Amino acid sequence: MLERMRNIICEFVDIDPEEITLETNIRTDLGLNSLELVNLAVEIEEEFDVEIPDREAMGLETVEDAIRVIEEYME
Amino acid sequence: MMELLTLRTEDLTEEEYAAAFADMSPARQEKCRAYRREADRKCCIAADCAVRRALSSRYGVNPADIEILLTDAGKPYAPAFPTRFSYAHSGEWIALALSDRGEVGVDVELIRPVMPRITRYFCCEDDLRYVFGEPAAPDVELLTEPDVLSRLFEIWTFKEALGKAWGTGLTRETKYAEFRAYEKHLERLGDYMLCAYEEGGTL
Repeated sequence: MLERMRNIICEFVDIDPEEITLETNIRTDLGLNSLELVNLAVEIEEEFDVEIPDREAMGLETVEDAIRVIEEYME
Repeated sequence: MMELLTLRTEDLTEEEYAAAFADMSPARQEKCRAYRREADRKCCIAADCAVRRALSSRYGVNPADIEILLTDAGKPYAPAFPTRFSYAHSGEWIALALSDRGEVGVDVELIRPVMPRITRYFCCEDDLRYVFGEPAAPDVELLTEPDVLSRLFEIWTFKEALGKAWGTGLTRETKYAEFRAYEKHLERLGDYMLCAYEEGGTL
């Protein structure tokens, strides 16, 4: 999961994939603003074939949060 | 009446950045340091600097003596003054909106191609009609038509400004707040869209 998340994130941010960990903060570490966060949420939805509720998508802080939400809505 | 100020990151010298950073509270300095990209750190500092200068001009106080705090929801305020304010940054632009009448929000964003699916997060049916002429986004991979993007970013920046004024960020409430029902200020800054909203402005 982390590997797939790294691939998606690297489409948005010029960063070494190895620097992306579960603790990576999507806003401050990656510098994503709200619009980029929404775009990321859509990319995640398409990659994992899930639908993330609006409130969950805007509340994501870390990569671990994103994976948790994905796994929750994949079930 | 709402006051709107814009500046570019290049408007501050390195010395002014250093001085402005020194004026920031420890908590805000920490937040600033947390940004990975220098461009984001500069925008954070410039926005703080702009707020201090504006309040200093209004109230005749030393910018360094102005305390700026954040609510639990992350909304900035200066407890010693009744003026509400909001700031935003995108690329080289920093925008600051101030109001003595009510809560205020501002957003600025680079207009660029986006996936139509993002409209699900912030557009109600009337918003979609405004952008696309019908109550649904087209089934395309990417929206690229300039007029469509312009209208879409009017709505995006409005919803962001509204969420900032309300202190909630983007929510279901901001999604279903119809763009055309609210009085707001929209402005193009080259390739960027800016929207400022002052509470109490409804048609």
